[in-house]
Amino acid sequence: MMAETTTNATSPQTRAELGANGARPLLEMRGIRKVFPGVVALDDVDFDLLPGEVHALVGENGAGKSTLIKIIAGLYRRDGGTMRVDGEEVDFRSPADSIARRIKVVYQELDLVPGLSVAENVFLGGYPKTPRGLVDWPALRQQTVEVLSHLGLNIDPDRPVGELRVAEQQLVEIARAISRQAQILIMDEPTSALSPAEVEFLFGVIERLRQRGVGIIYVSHKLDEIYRIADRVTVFRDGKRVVTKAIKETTPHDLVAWMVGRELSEFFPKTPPQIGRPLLEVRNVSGSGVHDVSFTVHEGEVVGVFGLMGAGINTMGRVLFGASERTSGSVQLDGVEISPGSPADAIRKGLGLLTESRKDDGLVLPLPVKTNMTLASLSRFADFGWIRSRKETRAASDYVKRLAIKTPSLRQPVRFLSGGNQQKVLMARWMLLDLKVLILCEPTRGIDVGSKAEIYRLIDAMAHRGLGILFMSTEVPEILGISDRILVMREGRITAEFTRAEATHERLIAAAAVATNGDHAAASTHQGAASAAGARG
Amino acid sequence: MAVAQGADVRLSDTVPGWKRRLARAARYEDLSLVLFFALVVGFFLIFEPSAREPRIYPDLLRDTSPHLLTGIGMTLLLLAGQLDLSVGAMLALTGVVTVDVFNRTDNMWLGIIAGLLTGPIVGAIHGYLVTVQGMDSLMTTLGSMFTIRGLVYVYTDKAPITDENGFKSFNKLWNGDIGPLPVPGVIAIVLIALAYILLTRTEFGRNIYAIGGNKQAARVSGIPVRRITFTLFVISGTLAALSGLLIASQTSTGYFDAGVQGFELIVIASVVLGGVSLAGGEGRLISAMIGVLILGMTGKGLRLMNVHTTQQLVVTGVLMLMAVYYHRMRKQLVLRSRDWT
Repeated sequence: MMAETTTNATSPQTRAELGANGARPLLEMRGIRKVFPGVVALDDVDFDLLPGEVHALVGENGAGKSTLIKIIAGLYRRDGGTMRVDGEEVDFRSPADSIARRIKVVYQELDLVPGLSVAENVFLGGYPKTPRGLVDWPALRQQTVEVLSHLGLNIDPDRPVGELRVAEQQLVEIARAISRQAQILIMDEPTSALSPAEVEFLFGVIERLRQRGVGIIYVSHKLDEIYRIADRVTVFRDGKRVVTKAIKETTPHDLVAWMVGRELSEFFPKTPPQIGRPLLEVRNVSGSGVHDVSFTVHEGEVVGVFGLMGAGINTMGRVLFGASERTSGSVQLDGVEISPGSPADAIRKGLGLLTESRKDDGLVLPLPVKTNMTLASLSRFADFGWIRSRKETRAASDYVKRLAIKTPSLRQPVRFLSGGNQQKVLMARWMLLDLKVLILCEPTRGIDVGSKAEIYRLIDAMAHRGLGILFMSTEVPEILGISDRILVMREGRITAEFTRAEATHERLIAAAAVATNGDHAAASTHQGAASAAGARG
Repeated sequence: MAVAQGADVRLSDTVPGWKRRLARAARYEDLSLVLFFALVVGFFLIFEPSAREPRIYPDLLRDTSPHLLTGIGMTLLLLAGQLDLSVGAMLALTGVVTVDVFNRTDNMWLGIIAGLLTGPIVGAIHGYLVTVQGMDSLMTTLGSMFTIRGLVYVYTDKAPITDENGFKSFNKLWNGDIGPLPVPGVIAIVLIALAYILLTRTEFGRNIYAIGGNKQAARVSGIPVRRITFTLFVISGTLAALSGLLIASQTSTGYFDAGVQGFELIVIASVVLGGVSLAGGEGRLISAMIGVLILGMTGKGLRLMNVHTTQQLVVTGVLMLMAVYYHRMRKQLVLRSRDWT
């Protein structure tokens, strides 16, 4: 109680923010700074969380939300600022430190052990023990049932977690948080894989937790959800906190404006397109995670594909290119059918794919810059399999200059380059080939603003030379900035198409984020309408 | 880290000169391995008089030629992120098949061809199981290692098969010399040179590194990952068969227990000692071959010193641990020194 009074006395500002509640914040962050090579990910950020509150965190991808979460979770160490949990200053060096402070993060990629039972997962790392030090199985079961019933859940504690549906797995993660008496729960896009009914159930669980005094940080792109459950909202943009407000004092239009708020014209050097014949013709294609998509990309045209995380935009790119399975439909490039499942065939016929993950299937990290650049085009620098080293080096160094790639030499292992320069190496890989159409999956993800602008310039230049570009992105501003035409995807389907003139931020979000069916859909359409109205007013 | 570039104070000024020179030297992996080899040779030159006789060095080449040859195949596979544990058992299979065909047909060439063919056949089976069926190469080749050894035992009833014709020229394969060099040594050198050119100058070789460094990236770049991986298993099998042929010619005998004492593990250890990464994508053939020579020389020197085999095992083991430690330190030094050299 003493500490509480002191805190309130020393910071009247905080007290004013807290309002009548007056409780001490569970989490208090001041002036948080985090720098990655070439990027300031968080710049002087303040954030706090009260007991029994749902605090929504919104912002575009790369705005700094995940960095903040990772600092709270102990995955990153901050470079500056202070952080207090329960009024005590903390410095997390590992996730274990964070967990010890009763903080629990439910990530999009759940970290459950699929082969173990529900009970084993809930108490993973802290099983109840018998006096002899063995696992007390009956107690484990008993306690799991208790935790699950707290949540109003009816899941068999003996079932392997791998057999559960995603929604149930998510609830098991939350049960795990409760079993550890978590006081701070962080949820990162928790509803992205849930059906409307499951979302309702999750919100019920969140309400129960709130009543028990748990503080919840809720990260979501879906504004309608935020308006349903959040008490306060904090908006991030470009690594800075724009605003923290009670949700009641904001409108969806405000939120969007705060999230975007940037002069876009100079950033996107868009020259008038010269659109020619159809190049990439996609007809009724289905495959892993993609359902019945049809569209055409023309010569010299940039077609943007927008969707929220998990909407299937990158998957569609992979299916068209042949990196993922295509079960039906046809993909024709300049009138020639591309065989499904063979990237080599796609490349031969003039289709390229810049994958969304540089590390997973983009770069070969230990290999030099030069080798990474010529990976897809090596046969152009070889006679009967014999590499013409000089020719290859000349081409690579030419692209290092043209794309202004910062590297000490062509022999530098690509893993030592910054994200932006790595991405340019990958762009060069595809520019070295004579492609007709290039699919780019989130090419600006996780790179600094300067490199982003250069990538946009490259895309514009390629389109100008007659390439067809299919540009996948989860970020509205860049989609609006560089596309001639925009397709919107949701749940693996194309749900809307806009011309450059028609497209607005609100329209894209509305087409991408409306919930699937039932009464929920009505609610979000209403929300979309509200924000559109706001835009007009 | 962030200030390293473009800052007024150069970080390199704050680091002592000797440390910078050391870090620069550490980048030359081949050089450091040659030094390591020289150190081992130097040790025996000082402490074992018989090591000073020049004739033992051609012998070293002869003795290590099976390791060098299988080491080539192993290096290629490891670079592509795969592994072949069956090479030891292959030595026995090839030897037994070769000599058995000698005795059945009284035709040396037929025997040699039959013996050599076991390599690509077994390699193709591995390649098929790994690339088409998607089986793990470690378990696949471990399984075939037991299977092959077992088949050899069953077929020979654990009795050595001797060349009844006593083909002289077959025996020369191991014991002959070309000028000052032993025949198996010459074979090894020629094939090392070919493999070196393959790795450094051809598209195929470049793609091996790409596959081992990031298989998914290689696939998305249109590299025929399966075809190349398949070919590498065939190459590895063939080189193991060639080694088996050499070993059989040593005593003109097909020996059921050839390579039974962990031959495959010694080969893997040698090339890893030579800096080839078990994770794939990193390593150099020449370094790997020097790694083979280092272990070969250690074994030979200890034998000259009449060190008991059991004690040899300890020395070899400790040497390997030291080498792994050294590689780790070297890598860290190179990484850390990026900002100040």
